[in-house]
Amino acid sequence: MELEVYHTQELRSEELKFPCLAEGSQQWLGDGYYFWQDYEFSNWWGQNKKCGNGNRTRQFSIFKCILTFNEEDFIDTVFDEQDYYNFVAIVEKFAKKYIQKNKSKPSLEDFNDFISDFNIWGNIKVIRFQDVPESDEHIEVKGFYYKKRIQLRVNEPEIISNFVHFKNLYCV
Amino acid sequence: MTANWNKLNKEFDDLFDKLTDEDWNNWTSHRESKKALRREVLNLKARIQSIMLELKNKSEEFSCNINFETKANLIEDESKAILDFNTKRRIAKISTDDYTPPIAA
Repeated sequence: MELEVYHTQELRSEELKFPCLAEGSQQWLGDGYYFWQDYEFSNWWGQNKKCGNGNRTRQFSIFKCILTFNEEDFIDTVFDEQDYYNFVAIVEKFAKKYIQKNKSKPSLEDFNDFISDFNIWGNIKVIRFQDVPESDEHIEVKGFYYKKRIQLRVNEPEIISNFVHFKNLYCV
Repeated sequence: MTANWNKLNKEFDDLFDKLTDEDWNNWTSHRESKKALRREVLNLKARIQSIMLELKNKSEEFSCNINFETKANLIEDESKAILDFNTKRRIAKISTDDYTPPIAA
């Protein structure tokens, strides 16, 4: 299976040759390489998250690449019903046990560390997930968030290829 | 076709249902060191893949597929061996120093 995806970063003096590893407690699915499935949201991400005061060039870059993987190494919580409900069940099973033990709800980081530390889903290389647009910017019907804002988390660099610069855009 | 949930759920349940209180409490003790190791492995793998992509691009640019492909394969094999060795060494160190969680079947 192959997917063409987008990666957004600040404009740098030296062009990226490979996507940046996203690290930290706020990454939805833990450390990994994050991509946008649709160009419009890679642009939105640049405008909203890569155009802060620290960005002196007032530009950001969008890259394209290809992800190549087997379907059984892929959890698709966006378009596959079975993947979605199984994913939800595992998150909630973990949360239930965590609450029982710690008397508080787990954080995003607790869940991701648990999955990684215990090598759960060890063969899974790609997870597709989504949220919904928070504004009407990319929506043609006001207040109706019918579009999925889809991302892919990759934890195996080997499946990333054809990483090329696509375009630079100015912050507006 | 989708992810093999029979396998994934079995792996999860086998591990999850057997976790003792001690396993659970010990899990939190060394999260940061394990996370640092995972990041190191991920960064090394990314560097290897980045070099591989660059070599492949050059191979196409100069139309000398055999030499570059051969060289790329050698670098990849060697890098993987080093990465494998370093990872095993670090994991061995962590497991002798600290607690290691059970690995899913």
